[in-house]
Amino acid sequence: MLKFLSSIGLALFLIASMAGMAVIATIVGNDSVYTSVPFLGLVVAFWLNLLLCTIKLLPQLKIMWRRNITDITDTTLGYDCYVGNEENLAQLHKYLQKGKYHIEEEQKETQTKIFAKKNKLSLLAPHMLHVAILIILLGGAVIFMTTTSGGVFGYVDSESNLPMSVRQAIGDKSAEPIERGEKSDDYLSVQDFQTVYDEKGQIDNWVTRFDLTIDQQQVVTNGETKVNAPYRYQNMMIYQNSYGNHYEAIITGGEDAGGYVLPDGQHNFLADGEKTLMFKGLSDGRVLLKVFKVDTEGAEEVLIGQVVEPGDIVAIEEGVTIEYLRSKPYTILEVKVSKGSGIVLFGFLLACVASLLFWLGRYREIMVIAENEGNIAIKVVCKNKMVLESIQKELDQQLQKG
Amino acid sequence: MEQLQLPLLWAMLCTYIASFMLYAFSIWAKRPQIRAFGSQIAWLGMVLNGVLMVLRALLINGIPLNNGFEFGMCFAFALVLTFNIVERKFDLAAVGVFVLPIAVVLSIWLLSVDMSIMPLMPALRSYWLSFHVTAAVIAYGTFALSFALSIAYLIKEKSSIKEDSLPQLQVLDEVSYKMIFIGLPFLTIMLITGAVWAEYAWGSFWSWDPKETWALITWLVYAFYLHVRFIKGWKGRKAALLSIIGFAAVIFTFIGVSYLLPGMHSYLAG
Repeated sequence: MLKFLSSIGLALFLIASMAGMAVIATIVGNDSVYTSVPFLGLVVAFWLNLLLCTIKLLPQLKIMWRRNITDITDTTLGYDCYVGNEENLAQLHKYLQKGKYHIEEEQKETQTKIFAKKNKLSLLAPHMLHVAILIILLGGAVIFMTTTSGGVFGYVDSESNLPMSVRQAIGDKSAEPIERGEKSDDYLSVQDFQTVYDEKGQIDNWVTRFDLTIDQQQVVTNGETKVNAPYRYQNMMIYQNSYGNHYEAIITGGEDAGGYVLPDGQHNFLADGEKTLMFKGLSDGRVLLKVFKVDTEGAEEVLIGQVVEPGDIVAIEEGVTIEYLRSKPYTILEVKVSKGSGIVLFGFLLACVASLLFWLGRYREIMVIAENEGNIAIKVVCKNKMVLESIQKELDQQLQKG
Repeated sequence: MEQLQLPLLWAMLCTYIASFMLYAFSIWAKRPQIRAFGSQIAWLGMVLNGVLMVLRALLINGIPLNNGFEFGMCFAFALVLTFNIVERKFDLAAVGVFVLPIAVVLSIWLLSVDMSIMPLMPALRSYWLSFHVTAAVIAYGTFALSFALSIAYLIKEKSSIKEDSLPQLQVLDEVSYKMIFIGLPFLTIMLITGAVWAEYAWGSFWSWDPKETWALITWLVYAFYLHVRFIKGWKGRKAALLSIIGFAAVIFTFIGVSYLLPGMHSYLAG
């Protein structure tokens, strides 16, 4: 059973199955596949398989890692023979030194043994990558099980409660559902929200500054979050998610009299059911007030279209006026609490190091037995046939064949 | 300067076509000496491709890796550069007849996409973009070359093309494998940098967005390739077929997903 679980055949089956399921899921557009029992089962089986496989390969790695001159046997079976003279031996040394091999040499009465190896660290690469994948998947599982997130909507200079699931996740055991408008113990106070422009006048980022209060204690003062630079507080990450403008206005006279906060670019029907009102932010920062007449078929006729400043009063029909007070910029932040990010990042780091080790080049050994009064026998060991042949070719070119 | 892009792209395309035709003619006419000329023209095409990249970099005042057009331009450059290096090292000039058509198709595709310069959205204004996309460009370049070598392998194995027209089967197989061996760590780095960036930008390492899922599928295909090669000893025909499947996944990830499976990476289509 253990042999089957750690087999490469099972690994290949699992890789192919995961790839196959992912192909189908993307084509049918069903994201729930990735959290389904069969897919998660494949991932768990793959993790176990990889773990066992990695453990199984460790003794082999240990042997390869520790190989040295004592592993050269006295028999030269499988060795290539070159002429045994000082010149050839000197040439061989030169070749090994130029190739930056790590050289061990042992001289006996009748023979000299040389053990040269190169790119030893690359032996670690596949194992390190396997361990990295194990760690990444483990971290992913921790994240999957512990992540809680939710959006926080806030006007500048106002306070907004953290989502209840987040409040519970950060350990506020007293967190309970609260009524709309009620303040909880854990909240964000939005101090400022700005759209930042680059030197060409294009939007560079959106920045929210906030204070964070947890359990009635202010823990963050003037924190800043922007796209690509979330704010981190312990296990909590605060992301800049969205933003926009609302417009505050007062209607005087008629059935619609009262104070309003209206969204950007949306039609708002007046009480007569025939007219709509809209505030629209222009790209230059000004605000446009529009009043439309809408017929039963939805056709619109613009009755009023006027750029307004705070304090402007516009008559929208006889005896009815609207006073534009101000724009109310808002920001939407995503608050996420999770554990396991550090584990995943460590796995990523390890995977990057493993990737770099792959590029060191293939591990190779050159074993030499030079008889004092005989041939020089050389054996090259490398798993890559092309590298092996290339080394043999170079040796043939530089040394006289025996 | 913006107007120079189109003539440069046309010049690059024509040069790649000319290079392909020279390579093809050298095989058809059994005149290997023409390959050297084909190779020089391929270098010229690559230089034009490089000039286009530099021009674009000057126009956007940054590294040109921000959208599908810029990525495709760098992809073609990476492919031809890798080929030019590998061709010299392993004497694979004849394979140009399979490599250059990929560069030609990419150039034609570039002519069809919007090359206007659009402001970069804030989520893309990150240093991670350079690392992520550069790794993708290198990985895709090597995989494309592996694909061309695999096609050459299958054709040589099947057809009556004379032994001296194409490199030996073993060389084609080994170099194709080498390209995957080089490319896969870059693909790994691409996935990792993308995931870390996504954590900072969107709050999640992984969202199963079609583009990232297909990048993972591509990674799985090539990981499968390396494992069956090392452990099961799959070489030659089987390895060539797997390399072709892998490159099909690359192309679907690059172009197919952008058009057919919209997601968080859809801006790349432009």
